[in-house]
Amino acid sequence: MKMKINKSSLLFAMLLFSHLLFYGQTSPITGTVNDDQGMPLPGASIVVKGTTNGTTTDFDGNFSINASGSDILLVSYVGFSPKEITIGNKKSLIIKLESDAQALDEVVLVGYGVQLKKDVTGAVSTVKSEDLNTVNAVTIDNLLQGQAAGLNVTAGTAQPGGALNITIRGAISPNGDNSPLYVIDGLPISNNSSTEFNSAPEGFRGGFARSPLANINPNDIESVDILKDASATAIYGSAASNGVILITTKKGKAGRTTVNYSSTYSIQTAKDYLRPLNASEFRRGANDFGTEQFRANNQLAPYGNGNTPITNFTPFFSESQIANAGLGTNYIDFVIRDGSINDQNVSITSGNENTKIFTSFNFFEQKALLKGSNFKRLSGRINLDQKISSRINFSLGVSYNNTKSDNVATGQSNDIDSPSLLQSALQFAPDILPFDEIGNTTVGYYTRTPNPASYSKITNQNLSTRVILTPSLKINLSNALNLNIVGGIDNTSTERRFFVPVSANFLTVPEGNAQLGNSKLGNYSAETFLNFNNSYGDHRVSAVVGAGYYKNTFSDYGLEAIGFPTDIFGLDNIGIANNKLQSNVSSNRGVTRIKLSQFTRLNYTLKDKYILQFTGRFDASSNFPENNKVGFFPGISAGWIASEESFMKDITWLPELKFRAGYGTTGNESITANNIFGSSLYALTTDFSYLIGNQLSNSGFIQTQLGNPDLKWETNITINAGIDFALLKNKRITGSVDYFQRTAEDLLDFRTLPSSNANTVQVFNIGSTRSTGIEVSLRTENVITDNFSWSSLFTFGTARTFWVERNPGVELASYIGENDAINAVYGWRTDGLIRTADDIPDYQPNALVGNIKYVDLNEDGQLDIDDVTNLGDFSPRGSFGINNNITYKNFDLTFQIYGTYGNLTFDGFQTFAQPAILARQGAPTNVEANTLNVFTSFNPNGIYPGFAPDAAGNNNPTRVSDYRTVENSYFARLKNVNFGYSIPMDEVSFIQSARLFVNFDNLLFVTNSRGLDPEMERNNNPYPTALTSAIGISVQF
Amino acid sequence: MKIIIKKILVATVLLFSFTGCEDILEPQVFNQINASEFPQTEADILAALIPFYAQFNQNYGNNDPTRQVYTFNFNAHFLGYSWATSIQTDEAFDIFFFPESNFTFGPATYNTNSGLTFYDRISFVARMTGLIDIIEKSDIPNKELYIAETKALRAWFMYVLYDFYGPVSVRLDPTTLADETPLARPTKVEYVTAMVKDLEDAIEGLPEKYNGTPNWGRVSRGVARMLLLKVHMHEKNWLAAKEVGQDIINMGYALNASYKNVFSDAQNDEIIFAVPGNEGTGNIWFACIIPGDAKSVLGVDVTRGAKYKLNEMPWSFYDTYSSGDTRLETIASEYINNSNATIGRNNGLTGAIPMKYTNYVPSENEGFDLIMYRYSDVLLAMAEATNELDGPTGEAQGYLTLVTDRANTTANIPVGSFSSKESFRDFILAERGRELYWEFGIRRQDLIRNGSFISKAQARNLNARDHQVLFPIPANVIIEAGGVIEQNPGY
Repeated sequence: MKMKINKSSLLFAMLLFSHLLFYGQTSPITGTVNDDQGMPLPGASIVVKGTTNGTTTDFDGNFSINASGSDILLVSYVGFSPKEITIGNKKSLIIKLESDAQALDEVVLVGYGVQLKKDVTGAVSTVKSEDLNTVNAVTIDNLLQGQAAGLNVTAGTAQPGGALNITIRGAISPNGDNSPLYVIDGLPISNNSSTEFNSAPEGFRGGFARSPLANINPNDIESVDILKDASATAIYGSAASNGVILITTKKGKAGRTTVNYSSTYSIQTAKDYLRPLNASEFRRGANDFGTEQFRANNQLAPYGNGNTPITNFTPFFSESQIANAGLGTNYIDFVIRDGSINDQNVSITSGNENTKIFTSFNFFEQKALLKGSNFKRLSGRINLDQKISSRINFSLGVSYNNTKSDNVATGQSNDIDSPSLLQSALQFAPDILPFDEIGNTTVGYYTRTPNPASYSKITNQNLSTRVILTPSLKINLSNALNLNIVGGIDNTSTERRFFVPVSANFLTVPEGNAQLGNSKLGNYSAETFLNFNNSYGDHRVSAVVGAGYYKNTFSDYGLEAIGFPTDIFGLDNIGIANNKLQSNVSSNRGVTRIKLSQFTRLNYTLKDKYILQFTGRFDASSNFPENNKVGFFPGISAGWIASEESFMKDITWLPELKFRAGYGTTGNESITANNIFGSSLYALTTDFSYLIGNQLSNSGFIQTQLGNPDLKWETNITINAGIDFALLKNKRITGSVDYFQRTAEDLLDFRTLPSSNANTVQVFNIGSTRSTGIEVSLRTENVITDNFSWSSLFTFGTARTFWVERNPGVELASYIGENDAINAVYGWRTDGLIRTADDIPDYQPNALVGNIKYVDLNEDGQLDIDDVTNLGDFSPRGSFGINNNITYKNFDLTFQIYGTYGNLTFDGFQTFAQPAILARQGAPTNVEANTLNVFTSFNPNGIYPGFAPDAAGNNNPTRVSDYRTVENSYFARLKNVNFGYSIPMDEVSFIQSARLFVNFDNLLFVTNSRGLDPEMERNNNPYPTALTSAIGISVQF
Repeated sequence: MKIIIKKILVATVLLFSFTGCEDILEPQVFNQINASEFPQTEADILAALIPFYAQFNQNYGNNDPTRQVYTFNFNAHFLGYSWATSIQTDEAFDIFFFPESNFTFGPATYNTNSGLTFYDRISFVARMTGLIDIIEKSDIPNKELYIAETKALRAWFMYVLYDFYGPVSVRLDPTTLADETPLARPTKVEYVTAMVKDLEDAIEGLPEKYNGTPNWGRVSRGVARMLLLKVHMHEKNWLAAKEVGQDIINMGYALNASYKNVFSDAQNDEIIFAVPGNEGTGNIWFACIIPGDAKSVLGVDVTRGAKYKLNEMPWSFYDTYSSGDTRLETIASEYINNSNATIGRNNGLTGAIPMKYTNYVPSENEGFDLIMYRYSDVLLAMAEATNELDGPTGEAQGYLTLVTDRANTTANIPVGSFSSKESFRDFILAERGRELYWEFGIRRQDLIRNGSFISKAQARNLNARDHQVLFPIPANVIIEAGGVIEQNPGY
């Protein structure tokens, strides 16, 4: 691990030294560089043509350079057309640069510095703040959906503040993490930042995973750059295999102080949701289904030849009870309401030559659709840039975020009896009112289903505070070389507050339960790097060399108290709890991870046409196992700007054409991020405890993992080839096409040891997966006139993810192909339901009516493992986004569509068909209305499987069938429509601009999959999705 | 800021080399320990035994960290071992129709990674083999006791596995623990011999009894003998069974005067082994049997606590008790619901409520001593073994009537029950059902030993087949072993 990088550092140092020797003996020339408005341009580059002698302007746009009268100065500035100035006799120059409209966008953040877009050789997408419609956005990631080809964003839950799954170019790590690395203003945000209390005390589901970006104000974002291929991401080494998302926040600007204020108020209304049976349907159904269950249990016709008299069955409800039931209470309507969002944002941009400040404050409050899941955020930011001397700049970003989220129990649980508000609302008896005469919550027939009204008495909150500090110091050592020292502190502290009072009348928590806890996360980083940029005639060289230190920490503690003699103190005095035997304390300090890194990027451009780039990073981590402490991740890429060639100059319809190709390797350190899999570890744990002598509860000592000192990170090898182009004379169409092949090797996997061993799994590296795909991104200026303009962004990406090499230690079931898709689904094919005895196939001898009829695929007369086949792939084949911006006079309209296609989707209602719980004798439970579509003797056309035990299905090796699935499903959603009107403010001197707008999120979607919204969670109680209608104003002073 | 400056210095140094950084790259784990520091004290050994004992707890189960699988405890009355065995017999009815209860299970029904099988406890046998080896090599005081205790537990786990799957590939040789080749299944004789050897060693090294001591809940000599009796009964080694049964009789265990009090008086002399419970442990016994709308059962207020009845005692079984049987004091044929109505078999109660434990605890998070083995089982086993050896002799009848006297049913024994070996065998089987209803897997074992397990299931209109006296080895075990491990016949 020693000194590997030092030779290149040395060469680099020599290069710098030689550069310093070029200083000549000429007289000083001073001058100022201004933009076309006469504003000074700080940081513009001035070079004496044909030499390496150069300088940059200071914050007033002033410069001084040694040159002779015959020299020609090359003046350039990002976003402006370069100019050549002959000095002549002048000792002082005023140089005006014309802005280059096309070039303005074309700086790209690539990690540890920016690059001109034309120099970029990797696959990089940039999303500018103008393209991010921040209306109602809780998190930044939500905004990225459909904005960049190859970036796939799917919602895990519609709950406010919930995390989205973001993958770049396909999820190919079956056991590791597939989410990209986020770098906010240079600070890498580690994956564990998303950890918040997500526990399920007493079976109360705390909700959902949170986005690591949930407490960052989307309005502060200046741009998002997405590094997709390894030739670009290799500079982030072992953290970068899933791509890197670089987020830059807004900075202060010299000149006039501007104040932006925007205010939005939104109404949320629930889209289609599950419908529980009404009271008379429920009572009728409980009797009918109860009878049917009795028939099935006693093998009465049509389920056999049993002779138990049907009169032995006692219906739970009498006919008069059914007749008088009415509609009862719809508990879904009881817990889902119209929501609202109040979003207020103010930001101030100001500055002078020495000090520039951006400050912002955001207030975001969401009254959520589902009672008890509100979200509130207060956040503030100060970004300061301070010039200390002509060569030294200091900047500091400070952000403070405070979120409060109410986490009413939602979400899927394996335990059907775990409390969840939506599940309770679906299952609580609709013929029982929520409250009795004296206002207490009532109890249903099946007492295990809590009364939905009880949840409102429960406190279940996360209060989270996050502070991010990003100090940095930039020292211009010479005109071509600067030293950057960048620090980062990211601290999140989350308090969990949970209280079930006795009065909530939860039968599973009869004595009351209080939990208080706190978790703390820390990300610390310190990086030092040198940036070098210079030209030598036709040769342009830029380089970065640096090193970094990173540390992640986690700790938490919790208190649980049980047995409350009174509810009145709530969480404010949990010490009064009297059940000391069940009360608990816990604390935990997680693995601290320390990473040391060295990184470099060398970029060489010849004649502005041929580009060669090398990136590389060494990472050494305390979490990497003993025998693999250091990893090296190189990337190499090349570009050819063909349109700069003389033979292309005449092709006016193709003003820009660039070919790119790259190869690189990166690591997926997530396998070791929060675990030390390399070591065999043991723990004393209360998970295994046992009472001895009726008084001592003893904690057990158990091996927690069998280590593997040879373990290493997963390695990703990416090959990327792309074309960037601009079409038509005025570059009305710009775009790029990329092909990639991303291969993961040394996958983290679990080696299965013989079942008779003490440890039956050991983590190790084996196997390989790959994703391949193409990405197309097109930006078009469809119409440009004075009054009317229309531009579009179209993104499209495919990713096919499949196995390349399997774990040889795991014998593949016969139905699994060696190179099948990673998310392939295997099961039996089906052919409808068995509706009459005649439908029973010979290979399902024990089948009864209402069973699924499976397909004996190989026609060998029996249903077995050989009939299992590949039913499809859970991962979509591709995703697309279409954004349109239209302006007409003072009106503007944007709308965004995105969608995916090509995956296998299960019937969204199938899991809701739960006839058994409605039929439960003596304790019927309400069900979703589709349950009435179950096959029964009185509903022989029912579409869902019936009551009879499915003998064949119980022996289905995968327990999966294609019953009511859609193989090539698709959906497209009109995600967002924003319509605005800019109020003419020419007469009002103190207002620069003002815009009124209306905004609609989630207006409609089209799909061919069965069930509700295909993006809704596929579980028994998905969080409802909303149509969000907003009205707002934004004003700039 | 100071810390940041320090880090910047580090980063600057790093520009040139990683040299000298080895120290800060050492793994930093705070909440777990390295095995080399274990064991140092008796407390350490006991802590290492706890995870094995914890398998007998009454709450749902635990996450097994080395496999990252949630496994259900033996005594979880929902998906646990007792559950899975009772619902296969005439003593219990599963209103949820699990594959076990309707005999629709096959090899693919179970997967060792699903947490729903007990085959995975084979790993615990290997863990205990390792622990025995560690204790043997250590200098811990009283190590003979801990070796004996671990061996008793190992035999117990082996017996549970044997009962479900027949002889399975347990690792008993500490030198093979790290082997990664699958182990073939031993023969029945080898397997039984190993269990008997462990139990004989344990009987040698364990203290007599823990009733009334602070060590209540640990295995004692009495428990080891009880397990040995179970093994011999399972193998129909009647002579050996009688021998060990007599040893137990000589240990001073005694029938409690009241059947009901056996289950409410903690640590009474009838109990050979119980899983201790108190207000801090869990149980889902009551929740699984009490109807959701029940207010009072057997005069016990059950208003508080979870109730989600999952299984019941069929009326056909309940009706085998004669009137006046004191054991009916623990079985409810009716209950009072929230509307103060009495619900019985004529107005909606589909089966009896086998409370067994009349000291109701109102919460799933509170426990009680759950009895696993007790003395009346020994007496009935003695009656059975004696009958098998010598027929319905006075000795055999004597053991039986000790039990029926307590139940106040001796007078009701049908005429002819003592007339032949066969009729006495049938009576004992029925009496064991009544006496030991819903105790740790006993009914299933009795019916299998009697040869009527499958036929009785078929009589209940279930599609049970002969080979289902054993559960299938989970399909993934067979696949992984690549032919080395044979499936049970019939699957």
